Amino acid sequence: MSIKDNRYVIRRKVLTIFGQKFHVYDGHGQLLGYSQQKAFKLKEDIRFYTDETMAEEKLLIMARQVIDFAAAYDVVNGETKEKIGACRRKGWKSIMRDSWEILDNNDQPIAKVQEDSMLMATLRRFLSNLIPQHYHVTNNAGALQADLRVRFNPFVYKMEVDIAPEATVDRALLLAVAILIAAIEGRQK
Amino acid sequence: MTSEVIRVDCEHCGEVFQAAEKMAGGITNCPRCKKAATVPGLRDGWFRFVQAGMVVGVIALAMVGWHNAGPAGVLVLGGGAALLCGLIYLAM
Repeated sequence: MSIKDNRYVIRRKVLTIFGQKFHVYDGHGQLLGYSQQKAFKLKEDIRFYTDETMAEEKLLIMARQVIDFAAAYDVVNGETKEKIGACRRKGWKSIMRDSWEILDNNDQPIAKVQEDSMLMATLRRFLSNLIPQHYHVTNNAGALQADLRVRFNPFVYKMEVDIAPEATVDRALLLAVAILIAAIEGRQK
Repeated sequence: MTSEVIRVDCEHCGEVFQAAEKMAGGITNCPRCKKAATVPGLRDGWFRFVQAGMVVGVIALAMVGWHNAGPAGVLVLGGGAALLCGLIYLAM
């Protein structure tokens, strides 16, 4: 899957009955893909398709565990059917400040995703949706890989994804992580 | 005694290989065809706790059913709870 742009917008569909649905737009406002969370599945199963017809699967995100608390999610390239990495939520740490790890094929950490600051994270937990979430993705060397920012909108959930031009982490993996966080963390609000 | 590796059958090329136990319930790449293969099992401490709770719940409901309506009560309450738990398990 080729992801060339540095900026994407993930927009959650407002009226959905079973499972969350997202549209992903590129930096030019063009629809890049459509993501749907499968309903009635105990283990999270999120698929990213080319469009709403769901004819072509681009990414597959599947949880290893049933309980989301400290779950790991494997990311598979839908075209090549190859696992490109994984993402693991740090359960206990996320109570105070959302923290995730991005893993490679061998489950070794290659990057981390964290809310912008402990102060803002604490304020969000008290003020709920009034302060939108903001995450930084950094690799093991501390270099910024991507910035995930939720825009304030009481009606429509929108996350802007800015990938650093010199990012070393697979861009498809970064986009998958953004979709996953939008689905998991967005649901917990 | 728990095993440290899990046997994985690649659904794409049929290769049989081993994956680390920590990958149970997850996905790993087949060493031969490099495609994603599902690792069987479930490594989910929290869900084990929920499973134990479900078993206790079924037994408790069966006992309540027995106390209130005898065998019919066991069938309705205990059977219904067991059926629900079975459906949840199948959904995994």
